[in-house]
Order: sequence, then structure tokens, then C-alpha cells
Amino acid sequence: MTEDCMGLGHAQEMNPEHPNCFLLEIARAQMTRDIFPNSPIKFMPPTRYKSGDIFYSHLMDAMFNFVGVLTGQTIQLLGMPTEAMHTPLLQDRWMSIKNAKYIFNGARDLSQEISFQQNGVINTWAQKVLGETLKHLEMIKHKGLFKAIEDRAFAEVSRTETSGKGYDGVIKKHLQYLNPFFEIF
Amino acid sequence: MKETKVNLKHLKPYGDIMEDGTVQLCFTLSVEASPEAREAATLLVQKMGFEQIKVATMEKVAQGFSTFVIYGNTKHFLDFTKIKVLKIESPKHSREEIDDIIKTKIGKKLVVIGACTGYDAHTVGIDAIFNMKGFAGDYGLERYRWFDAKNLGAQVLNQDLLKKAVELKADVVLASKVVSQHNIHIKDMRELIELAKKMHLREKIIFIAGGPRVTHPMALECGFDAGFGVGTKPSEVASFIVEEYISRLKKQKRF
Repeated sequence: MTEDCMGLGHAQEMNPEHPNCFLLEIARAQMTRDIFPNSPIKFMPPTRYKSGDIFYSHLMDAMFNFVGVLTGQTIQLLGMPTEAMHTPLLQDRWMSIKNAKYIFNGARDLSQEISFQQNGVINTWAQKVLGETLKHLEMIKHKGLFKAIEDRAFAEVSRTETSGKGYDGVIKKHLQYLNPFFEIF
Repeated sequence: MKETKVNLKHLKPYGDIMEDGTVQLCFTLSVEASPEAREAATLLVQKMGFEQIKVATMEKVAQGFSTFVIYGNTKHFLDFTKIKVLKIESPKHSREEIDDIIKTKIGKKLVVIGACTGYDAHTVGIDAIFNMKGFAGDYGLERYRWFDAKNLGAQVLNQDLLKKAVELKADVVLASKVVSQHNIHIKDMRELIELAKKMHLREKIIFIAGGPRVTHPMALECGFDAGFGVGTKPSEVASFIVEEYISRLKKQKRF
């Protein structure tokens, strides 16, 4: 598969009370963009720190949109003010779209106007994340993929080799198994 | 004359004057935004018991749908002194106190297991309760000397959780529910308790639920012993566990 067909997803999930959290979010989003210049980047909205405060939640989504437009993310998934509450109501969706339109229009060309300081907070953080990622990848290589997955190397979720979901859906193919759709695709 | 002190027997929503009864509403009508839609929204709000209705905005949100933001003043009030709510009454202890209570009054390590049950993969809540470092400066259950705490992680099916509870001789089971789409959390919670009853575990084990949409009364209704919502600290859960365990011990001795 070529790079331009490989969609890469990441999310804005930092604690909103963390000092300078937007600088750090910008650092992460920008570095994702820069490391994979040829792949579509899917940027996913905050969910982890969302509660029932829909007004604050809407503001979090606005800042998420701002980071998205500033760092040129390809596919911006929109956050919902009622995240963590219910399946979005029509007015929730409308609020989200209006929010995104406002920010993506208003700050459309901002990214071309600014650059980041060589040794500033944003660049320093990007270097730190990159360094830690490299170490993480080396750890995975050292342990082996399955052991690493078991040890919560991905999204802090553990999956063991012998348990998990979906095994009931696995069937043994007959020697003469034929699926014409694979051919067509 | 404007009232400046709250009258608890006559409680109404507060906007900027005591007892003004101001409420903000937002809803969608499945008709095109139009003067008729605006009138319909106003009349509906009037039927809900509001006066001095102000339509702040009417927005066309989709073909054939209009959304309103409306302010109105409610006629209704409530006697606050008559309000009763089911809540966890057990006293709060620190980690050191809890370890000491288990050591001196129970005399054995309590086995606590927890998981995000069903297809739920959001472990942030259960992790905050279990992990060493805990949450908001309050250490997690793994840090307690007298808890044998095991976090089974995400997507553990109810039957697997209970199997594990039997295997590990669990005294306490924590079920974390984050995803609440179509009330899946309530269904899963009820199912866990039903299964526990079938396996004759309900009386042996303390069942606790947690999650952003979990409340104590709702957890009780599902058959749990307690429910904890957003912002719960590990020591609050731990306090409940020891108090509940000891009260069960006392009951056993009495009969």
C-alpha cells in the first residue's frame, strides 16, 4: 500500500487543566503532520476528559478545531458537546458543525503565517515525544509484538495471545474455498 | 421587593434575581425554521409551565428541522427541606486508616478485582481506582497493603469476570462502565448481577459499579451494593469496601 492510502489516526486527549496543554497538542499534531507528509491524517476530538458540562465541552472542541486548522490535519473528526452523555442530538451535531466552520474559515491560512521557535516549548516537546516514541518502538522490538501488546504497549490496553474477542468468528477454510469477491476487488 | 435570601421551602431556579425561575432550554422541532415554527416553540414552552418566554435564536439546522434556544421563567417551585436522596453514608477513611482497619478488624487481605465489562474499552476510570499512582493525589487500590487488587483491564465479559472472581476468591468486584449508548451500561450491569445470583455469588461478593453515567441509586437499582460517578477517589471506594465488609461480618455473627 502506498503512503497516500495509509490513513493515520491520532487524538487530542490531554488534560485540559495541564499548563500550556495547547502548545503540547500543537506540538504533537504538527509533528504527526511533518513525519507523515504524504499520508492523510485523521485527527480525533477530545473524549477522555469530557464530562456532562456541555458548554466546556464545546469550548474544548473549539480549541481542538483550532489545533486542527493550525497544523493542517487532513480529516478532522468533530467533537460533540454531549460526548460521554448520549448519542448526539441533532442540535449537538449542528453546534459542532457551526463551531468547526467558524474556526476552519477564520484561521484558514494561519499555518502559513507562523513558525515555531527553534528551542521553544513546542519544538522541545516534539523532540521529547519523538525520543520517547523511539524508545517505545525499541522496547516493542526487544519484547516482540505479542508480548508488548500483552504488557499494555498500545493505548495502555492489554490483550493476551490466548484471550480476546472474535475467535468465534474464525473458521477453517476448506481446501476448495472460493470467494469470488476477493477476485473482483 | 426583591428577595435576597433563599427560601428553602420555595426553591426555584436562579438566574440573576432570587426566585426568578429562569431556565434555558434548547430543543429541535422537525419543521422548517419559520415564523410558525417560532410560534410553535413558544407555545410548547408555555405548555411546559414557563412564563416570559424569550426565543433567543431559531436556527435552520437541517432541511425540515429548526433548533431553538429559549429562555423562560418557570412557575414551579419545590420544598428543598423535603428532599431525600440515597447516597453512600459510610465514613471516609485515609489509606493508612483503611489498611489498619482491615488488619485489625478483618485480619485477612481483601481480594478486589475490577474490569471494564462487556465491550467497553475505556479503562480510564478503573485504572484511576486501581493503579498505584491513583487519581488526584489519592493512591490506587494496588497501593494498599491489605488489598489484593487486580485490574483485569478492558472488554472483560460478565461471565469471565465472575469466573475470575471464583478463581481468585474475590471479596469485591468492581465493574466499570463508560460507554452508555442506548443504556448499554445499565443492561450490562443488570446482567452481571443476574449471573452472580445464578452462580450463588451475590451474597458472597461486594459488587460496586463505577462510571461517568453511574449513580449510587441507579447502581442499587441494578442490584449492586454501591455506585460511584465521575471524580471518585480510590480511598472513597476503599472506605466503602471496608465498611460494607465489616457490616456484613457483623450481620453474619448475629444470625
